[in-house]
Amino acid sequence: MATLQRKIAEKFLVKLADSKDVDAAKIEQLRSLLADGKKPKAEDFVRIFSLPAGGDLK
Amino acid sequence: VIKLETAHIEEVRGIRKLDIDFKKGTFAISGPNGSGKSGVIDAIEFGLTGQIGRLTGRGTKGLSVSEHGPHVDKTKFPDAAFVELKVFLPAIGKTATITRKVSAPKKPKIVPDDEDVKAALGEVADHPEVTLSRREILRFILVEPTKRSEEIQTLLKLDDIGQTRSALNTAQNKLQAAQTTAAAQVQSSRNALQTHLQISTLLAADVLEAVNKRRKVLGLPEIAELTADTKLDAGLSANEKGSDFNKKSALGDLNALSEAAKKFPDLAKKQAAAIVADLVKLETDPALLAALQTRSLIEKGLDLIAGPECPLCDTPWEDEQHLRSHLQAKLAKSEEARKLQQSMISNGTAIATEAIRVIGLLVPVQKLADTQGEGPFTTLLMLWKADLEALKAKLATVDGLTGLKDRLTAGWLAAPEAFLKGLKALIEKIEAKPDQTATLDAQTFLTTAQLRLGDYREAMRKNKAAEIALNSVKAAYDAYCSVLEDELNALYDEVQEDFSKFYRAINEDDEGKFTAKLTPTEGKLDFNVNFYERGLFPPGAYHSEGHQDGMGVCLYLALMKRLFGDQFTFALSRTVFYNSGHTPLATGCRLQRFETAARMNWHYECANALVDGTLEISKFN
Repeated sequence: MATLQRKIAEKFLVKLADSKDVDAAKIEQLRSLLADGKKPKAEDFVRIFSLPAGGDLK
Repeated sequence: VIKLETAHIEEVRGIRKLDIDFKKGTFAISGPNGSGKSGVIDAIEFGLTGQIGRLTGRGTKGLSVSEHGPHVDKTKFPDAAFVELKVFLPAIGKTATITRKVSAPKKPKIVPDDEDVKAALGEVADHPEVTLSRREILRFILVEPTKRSEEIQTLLKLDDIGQTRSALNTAQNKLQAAQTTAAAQVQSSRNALQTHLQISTLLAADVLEAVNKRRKVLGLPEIAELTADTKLDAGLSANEKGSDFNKKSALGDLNALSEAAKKFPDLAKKQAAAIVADLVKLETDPALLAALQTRSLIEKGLDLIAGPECPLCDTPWEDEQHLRSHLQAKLAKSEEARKLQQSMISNGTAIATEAIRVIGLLVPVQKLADTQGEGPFTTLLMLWKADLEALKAKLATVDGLTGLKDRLTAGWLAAPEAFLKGLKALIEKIEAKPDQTATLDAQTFLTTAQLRLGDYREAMRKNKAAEIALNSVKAAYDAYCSVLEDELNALYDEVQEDFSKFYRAINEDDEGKFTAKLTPTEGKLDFNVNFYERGLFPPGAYHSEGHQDGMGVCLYLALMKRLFGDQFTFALSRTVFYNSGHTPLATGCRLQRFETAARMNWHYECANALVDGTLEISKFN
């Protein structure tokens, strides 16, 4: 991933960590999604944000 | 990134067969016009990226690497055209050979076939901007602001970032629609519960009063508090829970549907009329319809992009980034179509919410009709419900709405003809039944109350989850937009500063106080430069062509610094840029004064080598 994209992704994840609306498990999934070379699609985000709070254990 | 050691070129562009030893150093080629200098650049670019910049992009329609990459005498034998490059990869300390045939540009042979070698060469292949021509350089300077914004965003791969923002926005819209549906389901199940309990508000005290009245009839203990796991039918045996037919409740459901049916003709009439008006507008304005259809098509295309070939028309593009930018620019141009799309979807969602409410009224009546042996009426309700479910899906997209004009005009609910008759008959049948004993009434009342409370709780749980998902995606979208805006503003500020500094350095004799201003606005990037302290003007306004060339290379370097950071170590250039009134040598040497010398080694090494007389110049003839 280009330097700028990586920088934006990292700052985005840091900013999200301060948000009370997004839990750590979702942030980890986002981190993986935004990792090098991956182009996220809307459905990827829908899947992550629809996860139960705290993780995907049932 | 890399250092070139040797190149072996056969039958590529104007070259029949050529071996060059670069010795990992800076290398220049000189010679008369048509001697094949650019052919070497083309061949190296092809070897590294699989592309030839001169054969792609604006003004190159009809040109392609496959047809025009081979030597003119070998166009029918593309297998004969190939480039073999030996490169050193400093980051991993390895030497590798990459061989690429014009007949298979996307399948280079790499030796050694190590993952880290392939990754390093893959990164180079992903950056065709390492090859520069005067046309490439000036495209950032002498273009209109919208095009400059597109070009720079493409170069910096900002469209990937825009793609992430766009995907987050689409996810937000989808989760918003899901939450609206979940809220409608809550309303529907709440109505069903209230209808059964015959209470006007769903307060715990009212629920318990209705329930405890029946529990008292059955001699069951009263429920003092309604908690999340309270069972309203607690204490009933399995036998007593056998039937959930409660005459009063059944009549309540039937009457609720009957009352609602009186308002069916006016249900969401305003929204349906608004959609029909929008559809008529589309019919009478073919350009708007085309923009909307294209919009929908382009949105699908953007989702399907998986390489440099357009998924909509198979047209090959220079690379995926250019294709993506092209489609995104088309989307941005159809603003009126976007507003129309938004209005249609918003009205469609309002109708879908009403459809969910009607489905909520149909479900208990369908179940009742089934248990009462009313086969045809059960089937009628089942088919109508399925039809409304399908309608709900169509109301969510413009494509779906486009085919609904007749239905929306005639009455979107499309109640079956025999519905009212069947409902009336079922009401009469239930009314004719003898009243249930107090005991049976109480038992079935509690059983049904518990079932409907369970449905309501489930709907509430799903709605809560939908709200959490919506809030989290909203927070993420806002955070992403905020970070993106801050970073882009900082980026353009830094590019502006670096560009001005670089340009002052190569023109310090007469433009030592030079400044420039990059102004990003929505979809545009204005660029103005100070003309000898007389004010800010577009670069093409007063500066000479030589100065414009200098601006081009300075802006390019400033952009490369943002893109690669300190890893910008390799570039192929087709021309001499430093001709702004100085000798190329003197002006080029000034570049070594930059604080960012490590990033400029391509330039200052070249300049130093020229000064020292050690630059290896291959003279072509």
